[in-house]
Amino acid sequence: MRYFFVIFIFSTVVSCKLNPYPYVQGRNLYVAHCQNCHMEDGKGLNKLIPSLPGSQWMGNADMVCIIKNGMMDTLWNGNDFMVKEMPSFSGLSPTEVANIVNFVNYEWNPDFKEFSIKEIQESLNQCK
Amino acid sequence: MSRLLFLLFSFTFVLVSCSEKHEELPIYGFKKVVDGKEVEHTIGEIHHYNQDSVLITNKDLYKYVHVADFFFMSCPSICPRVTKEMHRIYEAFKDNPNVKIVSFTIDPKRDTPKALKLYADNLQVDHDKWYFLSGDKDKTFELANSYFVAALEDEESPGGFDHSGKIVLIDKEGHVRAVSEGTDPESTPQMIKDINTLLSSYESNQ
Repeated sequence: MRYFFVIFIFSTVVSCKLNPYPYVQGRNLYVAHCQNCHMEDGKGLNKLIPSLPGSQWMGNADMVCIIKNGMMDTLWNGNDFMVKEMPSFSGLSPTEVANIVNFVNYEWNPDFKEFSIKEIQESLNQCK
Repeated sequence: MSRLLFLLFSFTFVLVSCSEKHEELPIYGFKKVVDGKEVEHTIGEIHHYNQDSVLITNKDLYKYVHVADFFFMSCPSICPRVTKEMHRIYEAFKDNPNVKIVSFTIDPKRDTPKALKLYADNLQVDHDKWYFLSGDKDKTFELANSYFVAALEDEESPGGFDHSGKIVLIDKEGHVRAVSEGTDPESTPQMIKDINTLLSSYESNQ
């Protein structure tokens, strides 16, 4: 019985170590900067705040430009007009932006593919 | 013995559930003495325009119980989360004619009735059920205080205003009867329960 416990605890610890959550910094940054509006489930609020799941920016490195520059009078998912502006987060480093984009895609993009910091940096340089 | 325990248990259960039925919500605030009589605290004067530019006063709102918050459209911090909880309450009572949902803007310069109408449109809510009210800014701050909501202009706060995300329940006499934390989704079910408690107190008085 005692052995069972030891094995159980050991295997829990090992499995946790083997499968750590891959985007902890991205998740923390999302909570700090994005979650107040886009909400915990990423779905925003009706037509007021756009949903991230299902949005056209998923899987698209250009998402970094919206994070960097913000967005006014947003056109999103077709023609839905949002009143709220998205503020700019120009103070974030490319690594931080990469972590957010990867977290968001990991959580809500069924065709998830990780963006490298290099890809993110290139897209950031191309932002208008 | 176990039978006795069971009986005792069920008896207590009945007692507890009976007493819950007559549960009454407290009236918040200190009593005042007016003309030698003690009166309860009531909310301040409402003289605000809704998103259809219709003047709304206390008298209009006292036909219903109302649930209120104070917000501003360009608020980058807690407002959307509070609005989401207000929306949950709206969903729970949208078919109940005795409840109104009311959001006061503390930034009337930018949040005009026209802008608020677009906001309500995008929130996809019934304009007759959920009022977005704008009026004199300083009077709205005063009004917020009477709802026990802190609201003031503060350049150092995100968006230029400092305010709390409280959701407040007001009865048909203007008394504050329940308060919930708009930033805490777990406090919303209690608010919904409190609204029902308040509504049933009117039904049993009829």
